[in-house]
Amino acid sequence: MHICIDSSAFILGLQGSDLAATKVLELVGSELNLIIPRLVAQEVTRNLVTPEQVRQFYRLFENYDFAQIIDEPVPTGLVEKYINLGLPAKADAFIGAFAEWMSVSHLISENRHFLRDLQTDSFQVLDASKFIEIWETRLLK
Amino acid sequence: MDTEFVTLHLPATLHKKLQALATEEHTDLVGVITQLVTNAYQQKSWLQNLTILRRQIENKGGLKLGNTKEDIIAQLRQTRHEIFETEYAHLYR
Repeated sequence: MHICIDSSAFILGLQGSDLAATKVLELVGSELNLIIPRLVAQEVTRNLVTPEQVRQFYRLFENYDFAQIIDEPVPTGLVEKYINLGLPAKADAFIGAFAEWMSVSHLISENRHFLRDLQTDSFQVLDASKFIEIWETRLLK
Repeated sequence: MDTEFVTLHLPATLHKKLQALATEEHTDLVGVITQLVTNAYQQKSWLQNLTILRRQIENKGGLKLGNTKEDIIAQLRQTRHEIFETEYAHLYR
């Protein structure tokens, strides 16, 4: 399964202040591949407070087949599509478009603009706690 | 260099599951076990690196993004807006 984690869920998971977001980051591995756009990496690192933290963040993406940062810009047409699908802010549309472009199954976000406004069949938008529920149900099958 | 081999006794049910994985992955039992071990080491390493980052954050008193989840999300939306406008918006005009 491939997922994209929005910066809101990423930061909460790194701070350890949200159990579900914390758990999602710990599940990343060969069964749960993580793909994020450079924009999300920039949003996270902009809010880290020391160079060591920034270096350590990028270390998470250095040596694993299951965790990637994508640098390439998302196709313009897809960004336009996600503006029309309920994300009027282009930066949000960019994230939605990225998730479709990378064929992820889930976009995990705590941002209500995604959870409430985005309507798409290309992937599921869930907060971390809902995703954990689904993941655990899947394991029980 | 010669590879040293050992003989391993597995429960038949486990052997059957490994064989099924091997068939799925177009490999043999050794290939499947090698992949499982590699995955386990990678997962462990990921968790170690994640723990290091969390400790670094904790040791600096956390991130300065606000006290509530809503504050954090609002601050991150501001960060997203600033980075997008500076570095990406020109690509999508």
